Amino acid sequence: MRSISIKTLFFVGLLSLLSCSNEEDRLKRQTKIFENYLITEFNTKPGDREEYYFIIPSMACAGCEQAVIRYIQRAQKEDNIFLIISGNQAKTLQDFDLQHNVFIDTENKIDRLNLDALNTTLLIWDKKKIRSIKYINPQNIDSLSPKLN
Amino acid sequence: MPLSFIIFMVSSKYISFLIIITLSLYKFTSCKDEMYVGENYIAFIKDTITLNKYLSENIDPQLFKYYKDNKTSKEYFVYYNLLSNSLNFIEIPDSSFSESVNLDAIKQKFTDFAIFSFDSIAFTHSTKTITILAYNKMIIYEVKGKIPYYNENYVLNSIPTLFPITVYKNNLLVYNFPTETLDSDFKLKEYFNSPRDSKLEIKDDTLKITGLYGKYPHYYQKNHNYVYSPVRSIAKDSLLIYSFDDSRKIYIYNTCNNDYQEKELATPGFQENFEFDKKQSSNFNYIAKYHIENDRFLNLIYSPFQKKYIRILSRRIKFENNDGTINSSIHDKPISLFIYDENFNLQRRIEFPPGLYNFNAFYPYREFIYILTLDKNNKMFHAFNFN
Repeated sequence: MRSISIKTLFFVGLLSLLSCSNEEDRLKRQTKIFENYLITEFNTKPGDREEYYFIIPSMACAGCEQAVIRYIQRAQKEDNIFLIISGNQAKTLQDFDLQHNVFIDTENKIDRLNLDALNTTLLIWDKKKIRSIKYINPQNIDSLSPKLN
Repeated sequence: MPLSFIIFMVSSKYISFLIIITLSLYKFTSCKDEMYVGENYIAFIKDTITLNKYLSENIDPQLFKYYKDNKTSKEYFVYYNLLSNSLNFIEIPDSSFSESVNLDAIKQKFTDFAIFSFDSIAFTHSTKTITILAYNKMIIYEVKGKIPYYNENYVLNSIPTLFPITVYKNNLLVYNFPTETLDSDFKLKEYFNSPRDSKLEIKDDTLKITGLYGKYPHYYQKNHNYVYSPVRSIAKDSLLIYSFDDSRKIYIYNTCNNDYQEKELATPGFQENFEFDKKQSSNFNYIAKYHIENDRFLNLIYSPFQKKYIRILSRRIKFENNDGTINSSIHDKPISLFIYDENFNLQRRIEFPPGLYNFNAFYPYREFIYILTLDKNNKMFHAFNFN
């Protein structure tokens, strides 16, 4: 009985180590993809500090999209919070006064990148790599986004 | 083990392997009338009914409707012009007559429309109401009266390509749909327990439900494989046909005698979908991957002109590419068209490479099938004759 438990523990431990390294590998790959994308599309690079990139791809739920744009409007004074929006969705910005930190992806390339960003997404950049990528909706936007003054 | 035995084993395995490959190739290509449409072989005719003349950025090519005026037997294509906010009727095949119906009286945004006549057109808005524009007057109808299995909390809606609002025996067929996310087992069960399609009758200034169709097969109660909406087609003799993204089967309703039957259609090469992991139902990446890496049926269309059924299948491909990109769009997938006679015997299979055509803008007319090209700089309908 004891040996079964130890075996089980060993396999659970091994599996969680494997999934950790899978997750790390995935984020490493996605860091490269994201850096290349910012350089080729917008001629910019993510910085050395903590940065927040909200992404609105072509296929995004209307409510989620509105929640993100409203948040970005409130965050206009922050210099480490950005919006990347696909050209297909750019017309929704017309009703908002967004002067800063908005990247419009006119060719909708963001839709085709392997970044887990197929709906409104928050990508957090930290210490020269992606720390996390999470889907954003009106329910979780306040808890996942940085607090604004 | 003697060497001769090993050689025998290897060679017999090799022969078995060859036999299996040959058999599977035979199965895959056993439909005699196959046809491949590609850049080098595109058997289309351009602009035979001047449909392309009306394409512009103000027109949604997925919202063209065919309408036949039964009094005069004249035929029209009808489209919505966003700029002039009007429905335009173009007589086909020669554009010899056109008429515009102004929609300024309709204040709500509409999702689809159905034509009773020039003077009477119905609109859905993804709300609990239907608007009828009759002789330039707008009348808003809300469903009255209860009927078992009809969900009054859902809205009336339609998607032009898959389940359009449709005039059916002088009534309307409209889908009954939830507006909230189905995020619990209870909500999912309720959804798959209620038939999607409602037959609505306008009588004495009220909108009544007179029938419910398109019930989900029992299978979807347990395992929905990310199938939410059936496709509805209206076949010969006003039969209603419902079909689903993940299944060869079709479900046929005869509304005259309430007869119902299932049929499994021959679809060479179709692979059963792998099970959808319900825990991933809010993971958009997983959902997109699921759709791309499975064979998924799109529309099933009956062409009354050719007396044929056409079923569209998007073929499975890999979701992730090695260069850091993904195949996330339906247009990335190769498409197969299966053409059946009126008894659902498979007659032809036509293969399309990905990225050439938009199969949501797909209209049969006379001996042709019109399909919209995906080329942004040269968007037009190509007319195919698959006879």
